[in-house]
Amino acid sequence: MKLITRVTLFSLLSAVSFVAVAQASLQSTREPNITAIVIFLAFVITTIGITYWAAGRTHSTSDFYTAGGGISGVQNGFAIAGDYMSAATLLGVSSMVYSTGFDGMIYSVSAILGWPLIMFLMAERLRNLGRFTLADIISYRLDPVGTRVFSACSSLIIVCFYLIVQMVGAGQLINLLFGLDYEVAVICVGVLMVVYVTFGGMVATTWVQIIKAVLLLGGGLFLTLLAFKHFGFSLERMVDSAVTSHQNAGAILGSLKFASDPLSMISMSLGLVFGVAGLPHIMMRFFTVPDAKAARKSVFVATGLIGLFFILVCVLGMSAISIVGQQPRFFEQGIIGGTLLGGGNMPVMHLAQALGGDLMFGFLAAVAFATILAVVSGLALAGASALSHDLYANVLCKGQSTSLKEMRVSRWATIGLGLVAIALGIVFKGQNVAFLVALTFGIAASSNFPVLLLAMYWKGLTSRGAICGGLSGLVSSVALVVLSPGVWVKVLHHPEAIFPFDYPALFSMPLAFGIAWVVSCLDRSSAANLERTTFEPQNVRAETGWGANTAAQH
Amino acid sequence: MSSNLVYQKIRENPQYRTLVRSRSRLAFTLSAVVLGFYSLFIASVLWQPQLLTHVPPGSGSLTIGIWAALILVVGSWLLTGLYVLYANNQFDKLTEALLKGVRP
Repeated sequence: MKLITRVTLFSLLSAVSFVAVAQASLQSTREPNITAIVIFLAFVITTIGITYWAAGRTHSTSDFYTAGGGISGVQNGFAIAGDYMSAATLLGVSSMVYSTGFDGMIYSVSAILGWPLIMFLMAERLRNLGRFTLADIISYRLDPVGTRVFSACSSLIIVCFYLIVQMVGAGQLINLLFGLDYEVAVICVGVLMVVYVTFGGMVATTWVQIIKAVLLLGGGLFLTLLAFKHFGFSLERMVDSAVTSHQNAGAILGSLKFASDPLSMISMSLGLVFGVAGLPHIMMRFFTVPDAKAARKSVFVATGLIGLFFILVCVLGMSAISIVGQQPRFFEQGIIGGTLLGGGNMPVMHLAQALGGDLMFGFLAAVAFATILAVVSGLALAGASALSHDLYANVLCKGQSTSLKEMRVSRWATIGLGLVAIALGIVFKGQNVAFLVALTFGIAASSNFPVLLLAMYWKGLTSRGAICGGLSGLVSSVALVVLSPGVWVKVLHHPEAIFPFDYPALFSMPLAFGIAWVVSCLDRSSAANLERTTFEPQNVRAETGWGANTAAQH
Repeated sequence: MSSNLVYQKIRENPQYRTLVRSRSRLAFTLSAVVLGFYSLFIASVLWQPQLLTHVPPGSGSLTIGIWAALILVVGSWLLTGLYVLYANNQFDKLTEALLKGVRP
């Protein structure tokens, strides 16, 4: 990238952010929080500096997609944690604990549980077989065009749905916290995301994730410490006062909501547990480390950090019950037990205000914004690699494209994704997008995950089986979510849902596995026979790492 | 040596079978342990709710449910550590020995 273009773009960008902040302080409906603005600007300036540095180190496709495979295990562990811990989790899960108690803890446990499974069954194999994208693994011995098109499309669909969730969340959050217009906020997030990814590729994205993970965990730990201090450093007193302050009293120590609908809950846990292993932006992080050993280490570090994060979030939600729930200033018209100011997702923000004043509130607000930026950057990179590496270089050019051309396509793809993200964010303004989280995890668990797992472990999988199984999982999970209460009733305003559960995985995931199995077994073509015989060599590489892509030399 | 030849050679080495067998035994056992305890947890939420709201003696107001959730999260992490220890000590040594035989 030419120096002048870089400098021009960075100065343009800084100008945009300053204008945005100025606009925020002028039009703000609430007192602008100086701490939030200062910390957020510091984050933006630091990350743009890192992007500038990373741009000088991004020369090849391997640098762009996987940082040349040169990220260390610990760094990658922090980056994985950064990719997985979204602002939606921080706000959503703490508010779930705040309103229903133990249900929020069940959700947290389910959200953690995919990680040990990734460690035991997938991490080493992903590293040994993969190169840039999930499709590289799936098409290792299967039809290089068909399975790649399927896997790229399903990854792109997941990326787009998850982007909508993040963009809408970002718009609302920034609007609420900084007083910035919704549209301006969405455009800012989109522009910053495009800059990080197009210029800095995986190197910049990784560092954005690491900084964000440290900020989020640091902020969470400090706030938890303040909360503990409030209860005289006694977990028991925290739980006791939560029970006495909550309108449902002792019932919050059992399941209030989930237990009343067993199938729905089982479906949700299946999606959460197995969905992680199908999220393209998370799985692609395993290609950034030099070898299987580093891949293992990164899951160990990531699992520890994510576990800590969910414990913190639960403690914060629990302490918010008595601290936030007892103060009229956090409720609309000061009615305790009424609607929380800023909506149901705000308990943890109010808790920061109650315990640490404007300073802590501003810090947490800035961290939440930084969190969104980091997650959308990871998503944009995963989407861009599916477009440029899978669809352009391998399907359209049949692997005959040059590294330079592929890089150019991936940069344009990122810009395109940025525009799509901004457009979707604005289209979905004010919509209830909670169902999209269920949908993203549902699709990931029913399309990418079954195909990936079978491709790595089952000799009998053929191209037809993979494509039919994956497609049926994809189509059924989308269809079931459209017919679910979350969309059919809440978005489309029909009186009654056709499919009774919000989470599709209980039905769509077994369907995908079943169809992949049946079609593969029935497949008697000569191509299928060849695919079965190439499983053993693939397995040798998966087990030993012989022939795996090694770190690029710098 | 072409990689197909190498793969063939590695497969014929008895140490390869030891590696595959011991790794899959550990991986599947640990996965079964994690999924087993998680299923028990979910099953008791659904069908034995009073068990989880029970408070063990000397635990103040911390119910069995809260303890179980905490143990599942921390335990999952410790098990990933156990896998790393095993893999670093045993699987990597086996792999190294295997690859030494085929390196030019």
